[in-house]
Order: sequence, then structure tokens, then C-alpha cells
Amino acid sequence: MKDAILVRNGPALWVLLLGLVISVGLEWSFVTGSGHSPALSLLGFQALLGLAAGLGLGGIGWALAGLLARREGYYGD
Amino acid sequence: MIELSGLWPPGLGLLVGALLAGLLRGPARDVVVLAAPLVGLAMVWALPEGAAARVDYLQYQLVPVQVTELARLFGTVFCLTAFAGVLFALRTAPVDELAAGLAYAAGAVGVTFAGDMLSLFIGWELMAVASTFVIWSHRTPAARSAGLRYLLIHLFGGMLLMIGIAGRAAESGTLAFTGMTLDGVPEWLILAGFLVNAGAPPLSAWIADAYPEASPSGMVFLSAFTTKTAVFALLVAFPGALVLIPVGLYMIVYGIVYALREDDMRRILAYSLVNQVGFMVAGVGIGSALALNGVAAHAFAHILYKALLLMAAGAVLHRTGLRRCSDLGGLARALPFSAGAALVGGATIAALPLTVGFTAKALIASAAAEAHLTAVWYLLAVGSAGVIVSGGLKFPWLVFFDRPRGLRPGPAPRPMGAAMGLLAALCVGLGIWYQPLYALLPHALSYEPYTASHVLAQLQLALGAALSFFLLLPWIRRQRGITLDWDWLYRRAGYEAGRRLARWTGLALTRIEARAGRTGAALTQALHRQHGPHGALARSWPVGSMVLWVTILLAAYLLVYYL
Repeated sequence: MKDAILVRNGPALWVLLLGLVISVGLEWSFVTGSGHSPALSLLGFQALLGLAAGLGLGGIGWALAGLLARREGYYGD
Repeated sequence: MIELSGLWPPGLGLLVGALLAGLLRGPARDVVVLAAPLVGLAMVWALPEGAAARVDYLQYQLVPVQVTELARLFGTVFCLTAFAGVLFALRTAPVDELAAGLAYAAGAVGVTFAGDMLSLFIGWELMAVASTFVIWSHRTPAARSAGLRYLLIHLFGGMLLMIGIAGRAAESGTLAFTGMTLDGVPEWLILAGFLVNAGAPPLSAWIADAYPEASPSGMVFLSAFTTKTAVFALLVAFPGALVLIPVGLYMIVYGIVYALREDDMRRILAYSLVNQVGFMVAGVGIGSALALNGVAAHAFAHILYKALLLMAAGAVLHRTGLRRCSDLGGLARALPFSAGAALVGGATIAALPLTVGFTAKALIASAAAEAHLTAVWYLLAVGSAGVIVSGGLKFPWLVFFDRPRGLRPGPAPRPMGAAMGLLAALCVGLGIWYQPLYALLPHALSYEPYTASHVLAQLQLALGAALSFFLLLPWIRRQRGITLDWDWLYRRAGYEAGRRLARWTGLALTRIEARAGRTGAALTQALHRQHGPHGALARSWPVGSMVLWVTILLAAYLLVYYL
């Protein structure tokens, strides 16, 4: 448990999760307040997009790491 | 004929400042180097809209000064950043860096007010040479090597540009710097010349190779001018060139992925610079009025927040001498002002509300949506999220807030703090009072950034991306070594190929020489054998045999003649 991500990055992660809940709640209230039916599929869409994009690009970086990462001074200068 | 009509090129004020910087000492020099960008700024605003200065040269008409809204926008931000850069460098940089920085800014301002391609080229090359001296003024072996590679790349780009300009002048008989269509080789060469300076593929790596080798203050100058003058040139010459959309999207993804892989804080920011220029290049490709406004606004904002982030990184480097995130961490207590600057810069690059990033960066994505470019819109959104992870969070978090490494550096010098304060104030000020920025844009704009949906969408994107950052953090932290880039082709493969070619050529030449020597010696021996004192041709021959030979030869001649 000591190495779990939630413990290691504790405060920052909890603040982020709280922010996400609040933002989705706000979006819900705006959508319903404007008289539209809440399109559940769109609530939090941007947050999911952000999360997926971050993880996806990180994944590409991880994949590239195996191919392109080299030790220091590989260029020889 | 010279018809300046009192329209002096605004870059002149900066250039005079650069020359005087080398001649003066002490407080007089401080006053001159600080005043030069402000004089340049005053000259930018003293020029009347639409005015042009003309000079006849050979059969062409040159327009060294042409005042447009776009030129004024870029000229303004270039002069502001030159002032902030000089202020940041005032107590720490050598005089040659200050002079080169001002000359570099003069070249950039010269490009923005150029009304013809030859004037543009002069400013372009002034930038290439002056920026190389900015890198070399750091006086380290790495800076010397990187500066030389940087110069070679830019001379190559300048050569492409010059061939394109000459070809276009020969075809159309004009040197005017206006919108072009990609329907001939000269136009493609001009585009390639612009894209080299923008850091487009396959020559994107020069930014991360050269910029971080400059001094802490030198990189501030470097981040502001070259790539953004390229964006300016693309805005004027190639708006709506569809080929720029995939180029820009590639730069966006490339910049994010490489910044995520990087450990050196200034290389992270260099890759993030490529990524941001990618948004602008894609925006130029979209080409609508909203997109072009978005590119101009994004470039303006980007110059400010990138310089701010690099100042924060420069202050850390100046105080600690360390540049790797894995050696740094927890510096917010020791360098609170720099940490604040990094946070404001990070929030601005992440386009959080109340920053100029929020008011400026949404325009390009809106233009993509307006043009029904759905895939482009999605990729821009993905890029925006990636920027938050790679540029907005990684540098500030790892350097100022991650695990402390026991470093206790003193605070940044006051001029550095003042420069960071100025840019941070502009980042926040233009985020709240954005109308002055919108009024400077080249096309009329009726856009309201502070709508509930925009604020919420941007906050959600930032929160989601930040969540992914903290989930990836253990992996992001452990980044030592280097990641191979396109520069491997000329720094490793090209160098190796050249070395082998030289060796093979040398070997081949030695063999050819040896063989030629042996053949020559054999020929001499044969001649000596026939013609020497004892050779066959030196002997007396009987008359009868000679007559026989003559008869044979005549008969052969007759035979050939009748055939």
C-alpha cells in the first residue's frame, strides 16, 4: 500500500478527483438549468478526453522509449 | 529612387542599441540595452497603419517597411519580449549576448515589417547569425557544437528560401511579400525555408538540440523570435495551405511525446515549443479568418508564457547549475518567485481561465470546429491535453514541488525577478482584459472566451490531463539518458557515412595513385626497351627489309581506300 499511486501523490490526486466531481456537477446543473435533457454521454467528456489523451500520449512515449532511448553521449559529442 | 517618407524601420532602434552595447560600459550600457527595445516599441506604434517605404533596387521595388496590423502585433510582442529578455539577462549575461540578443530582435522586427522578399531575407539571415552568437556566447564546448549545427541548419533553410525567392522573381518579376499559392517549385522552396525555421519535420530537432545549450538568459531570446517569425511568414504567405494541417498536427504530437520522455528541464520546454508552434502551423493551414486570428493570438501569448517558463528554468539553472529534473525537486521554498512564475507560465500554457492562454488558444480549435474539421478538432483537443501534461505540469511539478533533493540555492537576482514579474503580469492581465489583444488581431473578431461551456470544458480537460500526469508520474520521473530524434540522421548516421566515404575515397585514391605509378613505370620501361640505345628502333635496319615494310603499308593503305 505504501507504493500505491494514490498514497504517493496523495493530496494532488484527491484535489484533482474532487475538482472533476465538482466540474461534472456544474456541467449537469448548467445542462439541466438551460432546459435541455442531460446528455449523460457528454457529461465529463472533456475530462475523459484529457485523461485518455494524457495516458495515450504517455503510452506512445513509453513505446518509443524502448526503441529510441539511449544512454548519455550516444551522439558521440 | 528612395521614398522612405519618414518611415524608419523599427528594427533600427534595436540594432543601434546592439551596436552601442558593445561600445559602452557600466550604467550607460544598462540604460541603452533596456531603452533599445522600448525605442523599437515606440517606433512600431509611431508608424501609421497602411504606410509603406519604397526603395528602387535594380529593376525591383523593395519595401523595407510595410505597416500592417499583423506586423504591428508581432513587432509589439517582439519588442516587449526583447525588453523582458534584456532585463532578465542584465546582471548575468556577457555583453556579447546582450548585443546579439538585441540584433536578433532587430532581425525579427525587420522581418515582420518587410513588404518584399529581399528585405525579409535580410532580416531572416540577421536572425540566423545573431541567434548563433547568442548560443555561442554561453562559451561551453556543447554550446559551440550545438551553435555550429544550428547555424548549418539555418543557412540551409536560408538557401532554400533564397533559391525560392530568386525563382519566383524570375518567373513573376516581383519580389512582393504577399499571399502565394503552392503551384510551382519556387513557392514550395519558400515554404520549405519558412518551415525549417518553424521547426517542422524532418528538421524539428534543432530546437531541442541548440536552444538548451544557450545560457540561462540566452534561451529566453531564442524562444521568442525564430519560430514565431516563421509563423508570421506563413500567416502572410501561405494562409489556407492544407499541407500545413498534417505538418502542424505532427509537430503537436512529436513535441508532447518527446517532452514527456525528456529529463532536462530546458529540453522539455524546447520540445513543448515545437508542440505549440504545431498548433499555429495547423491553424495557418485551416486558413479561415478565425483561424488566422487564433494563430496570431496564440503566437502573441506563446511568446510571453514560453519566455516566462524559460526564465523560471533559467533562474533555477543560474542558482543551482543543474538542468535535469531528476537532480532537482522541491525548490519552491528556496525559489518562491521562480516557482510562482513557473506556475503562472504552466497555467497559461495549459490555457486555464484568467490567463492569456485561455483567451488566445481556443480560437484555433474553434476555427477547426467552425470549418467542420472534426478529426482536426479532436487532435487539437488531444494536443491541448498533452500540453497540460508535458508543458504545463511536468516542469513546474518536478522542479519546484516534487521530492526535495536537499538543494538550498539563494533567490534569483532582482532583475530576473522583475522580468518574470513583468511577463507573469502580462500573462494574467491579458487573460482578464483580453480586449486589447483581440483589437490587435488582423481580422475583426466577435468572440467571447468566458462562457460557462468554455470555462467548464477547459477546466475538465485540464483536470483529466492532470489526473493522467499523476498516474504517469512514477514513469515520468525516471527519465535519464537521451531519446533519439531526427538529428540522429545527421549527427550520427550522416557523420558516420561521411567518415566512411572520406576513408573509402582516401583508400581509392591511394590505390589509383599506386596503380598509375606502376603503369607509368612499366610504360617508361617499355619505351626505353624500344627506343633506348639498345632498343629495336635504335638499331640500323637493312634497306631491303625497309622497302618491304613500305610496300606492305602502301598496300594496306590502298586496300582501306577502296573499301
